[in-house]
Amino acid sequence: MRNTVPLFKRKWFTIFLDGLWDNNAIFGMVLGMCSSLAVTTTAINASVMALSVTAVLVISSFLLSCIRKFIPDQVRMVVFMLVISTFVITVDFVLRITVPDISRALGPYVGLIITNCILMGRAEAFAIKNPPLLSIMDALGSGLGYGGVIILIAVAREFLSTGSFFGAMLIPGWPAWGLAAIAPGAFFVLAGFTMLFNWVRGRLKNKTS
Amino acid sequence: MKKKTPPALRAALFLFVLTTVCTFFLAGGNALYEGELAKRDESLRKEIVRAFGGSFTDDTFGAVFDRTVERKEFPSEKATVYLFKGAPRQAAVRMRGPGLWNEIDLLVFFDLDSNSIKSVRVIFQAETAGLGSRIEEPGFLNQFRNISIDRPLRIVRQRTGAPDEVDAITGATSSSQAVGAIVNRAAALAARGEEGR
Repeated sequence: MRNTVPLFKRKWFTIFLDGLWDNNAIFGMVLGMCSSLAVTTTAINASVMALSVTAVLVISSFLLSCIRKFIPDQVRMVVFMLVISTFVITVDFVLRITVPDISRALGPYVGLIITNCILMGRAEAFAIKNPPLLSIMDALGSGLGYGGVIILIAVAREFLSTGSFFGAMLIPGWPAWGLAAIAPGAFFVLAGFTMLFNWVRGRLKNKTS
Repeated sequence: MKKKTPPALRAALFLFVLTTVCTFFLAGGNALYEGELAKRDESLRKEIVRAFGGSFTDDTFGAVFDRTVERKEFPSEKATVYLFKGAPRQAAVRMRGPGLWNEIDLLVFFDLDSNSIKSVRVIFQAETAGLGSRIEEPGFLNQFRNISIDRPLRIVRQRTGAPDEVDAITGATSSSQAVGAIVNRAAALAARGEEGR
């Protein structure tokens, strides 16, 4: 018999959407702030960071979900840290080999993915209690939610500070707003987007209720 | 009756197995990474030998490099000096120094007979896109050619025609000055590297 449940009501899709939009890591849960301010000077750097976090999140969530029945409860946090750090170091190696310039530009922030609360948070809140496929969807939603936001912030900051988009100059002679390229500017851009996101989310909620 | 494993022992065993697996996994990754680093270093050394006028094949490169180039490390200066053993006297200095957002990594070639800069190449930079990142452009780097290293070169906003001047990139004076500072330090180091010979 064909599955007649609409896509947006299927369990895997609601889990995916929850991480992507309703409980967005940055706008909703205010997690991953450090990297979202530090690596968003250019859109290319932010894209690589977004991909890296999503990849580590999906792989570690999948693996932890697969072995969840064997993980002794009293050492579960140590196990999360061990698995996550192994994949973060692996991603760091991959970046250093494939995109060395971007890897150097990202500096210590790739290694610091280990301490990103989103990874430990999803492992503890979801992967340890749910089957692998649902854990992948949860990780994918959270990772893309985080990634989408940092790319958005980076695109805005790069454009405001240099008039360029992914390194390509859009408006030559753009009156560079230098503040956007430094940390205080990042706070302004992040706060602006958070306000906009919560306003849109509030409107959508009011419409549906 | 089957005896149950104590929880503490079970946890310890689990961690031991997982740590072992992770360690072997990362050791494999590290071996691949080290291999890649060695390849990159060889590619840079080949560029230096070519710039010194040396010729080689892949098979003879190791021997040609050892015979014609002396390598000196200066860890406190974040630099490596390569001195040509033949004539004319030449040097290449790879040096990292502070840029606006991140370190700038340069490879500077010197003609030590005429005490001048032969060329400058940017290996890595993460300066502001569209502004400071233009330090990689030939229009900026070619200005360094043939400048004397008898005294430090100057990065200026507008050239007056003096032979030790390099025109800064408009809107990216800090990045231009960062490059100038590294080139000046590299020149001093090339001379220091020569002294011990």
